[in-house]
Amino acid sequence: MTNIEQLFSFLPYGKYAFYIWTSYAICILVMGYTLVRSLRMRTTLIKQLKDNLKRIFPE
Amino acid sequence: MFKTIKNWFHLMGSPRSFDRIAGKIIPWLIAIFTLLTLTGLYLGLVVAPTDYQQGESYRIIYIHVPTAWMSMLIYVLMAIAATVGLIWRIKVADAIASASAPIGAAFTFIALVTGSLWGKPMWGTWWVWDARLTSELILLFLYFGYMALQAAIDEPRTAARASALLAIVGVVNIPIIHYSVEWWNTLHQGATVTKIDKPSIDISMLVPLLLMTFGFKFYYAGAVLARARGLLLEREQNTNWVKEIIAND
Repeated sequence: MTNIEQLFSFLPYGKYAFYIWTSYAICILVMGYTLVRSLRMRTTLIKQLKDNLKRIFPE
Repeated sequence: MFKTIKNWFHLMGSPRSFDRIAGKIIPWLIAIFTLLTLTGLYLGLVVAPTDYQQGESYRIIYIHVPTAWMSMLIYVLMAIAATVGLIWRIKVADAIASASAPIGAAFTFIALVTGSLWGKPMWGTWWVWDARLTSELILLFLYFGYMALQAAIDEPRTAARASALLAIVGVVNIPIIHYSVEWWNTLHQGATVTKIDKPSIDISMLVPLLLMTFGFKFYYAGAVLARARGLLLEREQNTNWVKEIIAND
């Protein structure tokens, strides 16, 4: 077992724990970030357009 | 039947109708994705037995294979949408193509990283420049190239046209990725699930894999519709329907 494999071996799946859990963590982070960015895109844009309108027509 | 489909396409071709309908569908798509993925993860990580050859390390399959499939499927869908936008000048098709690129790039990135993390304990190396891995890396660069080209051109119509051509040319890479394990000698294993005669994977491992695969398709559908709504709103910001949305928000 390499040092990194030994360090994470207390987790489920023993000597493969580092590879498995790192894979799942990266997957959750990247997919989560992409989904949140996608879902917030429209709301952020509406807020920006509203702010622009307020700047042009203060009342 | 044909008339209903035609009417539906006409309806979805209008940015205003698309925005309204997509807004209603997205929460359902995300809910189905969550349900399928959580069930798939439970069956894959808890219920499925240990592999006789690879031990526990094979459990990376439940994200590596679905993300790799999605990376190719999304590219094809992106190229189809870009072609429709190029020929019929449908703004919604341009937005779908444009919205697909970052999602496809995210899936390709995950497929490459998880493949590398699976390769280390099985092959003894993080990376080899063989056909499957290299062609998948080229796919990531194609996605980046598409996004960079769109960002470099200010005028939306010109940007859509230029990037559509890149997307269409890049489709040639998809069969190369798929057949690379048959055409060249590679460390990567051959087809397991998609073998026509009989999949060489046990049913207890196949079910969670298919659940994850379907779940990721719903994820893509939800994310791409959400992004496309944002892109259309930005592009149509001077039209009355967008002004109404801003006024009523």
